[in-house]
Amino acid sequence: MNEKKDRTELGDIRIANEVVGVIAGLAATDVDGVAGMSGGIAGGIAEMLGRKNLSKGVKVEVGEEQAAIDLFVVVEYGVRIPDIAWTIQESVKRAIETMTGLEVVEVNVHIQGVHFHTEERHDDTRVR
Amino acid sequence: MARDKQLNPIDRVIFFAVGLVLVGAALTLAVSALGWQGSGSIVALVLWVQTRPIEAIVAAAVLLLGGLHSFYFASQTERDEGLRQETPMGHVQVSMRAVENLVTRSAREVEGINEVDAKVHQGPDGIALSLALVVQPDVQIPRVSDEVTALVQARIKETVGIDVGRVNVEVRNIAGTARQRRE
Repeated sequence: MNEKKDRTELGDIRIANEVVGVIAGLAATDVDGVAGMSGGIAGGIAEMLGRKNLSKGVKVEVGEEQAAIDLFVVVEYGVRIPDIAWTIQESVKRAIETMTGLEVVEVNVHIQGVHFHTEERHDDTRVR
Repeated sequence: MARDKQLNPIDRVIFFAVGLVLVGAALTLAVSALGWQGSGSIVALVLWVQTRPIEAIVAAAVLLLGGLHSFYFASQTERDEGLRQETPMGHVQVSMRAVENLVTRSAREVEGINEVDAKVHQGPDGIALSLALVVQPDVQIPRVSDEVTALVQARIKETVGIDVGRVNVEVRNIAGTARQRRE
């Protein structure tokens, strides 16, 4: 696995991919209208075992200088997906670039679900 | 959720059979563990299998098929290609399940519609939708279907940013009739 590595006079600086993933996950969940990240089956099991995974739903590919991010997101009902996707891409890119110095070439956003706040009006017909 | 309801009859039968086999295996194991050697224990079962190899092989084949089907079912669920749009900074992909959820939710806002089952297909001109509805007995179906088509098209355009081409509406039932039959 590749990871970010800087050579300085005093030694190397390495940034683990996991760190890039956590930064991306936090930046994405901070965006208004994002209900959460969607971690898939493995993530769900890890969560059940009580392990809070900050890079859930994030896939990173890191090269020497550049990074590409895939985000699996659940959004709130009512948001405009093109807008929110744009905001997510922008803020994830900015967060990673300022914190790690990597150049982010791609932020792919996968909307995995829509989250509804109020649980649906239950079949009112059943009572009739 | 809508997805869960779509177990087809074959899956249902197989899961039912798998359940029976598991319960049977559990009972056999428990009975044998308690020291029972007569009919119903593992010892008796093994002896019986040796006297009737053909039946045993058929049963094994059936179990194998059921098992393979369950494996397949478990592994194929989360394959959702979704709708993909390119942006300057990578692509944005919306899963079909999310779109179907949105459509179901929007369609239910139309007065006179009780239940909605939505399917999304990738068509030549944008996406195509199929809606299966259960409507109230007192509605005008042409009005409701026009209304739901317009609403869903507008909502998907607004939230997902994708043009909806055709919307096929199927009225599957009138609310109330199915329930009377069931009781």
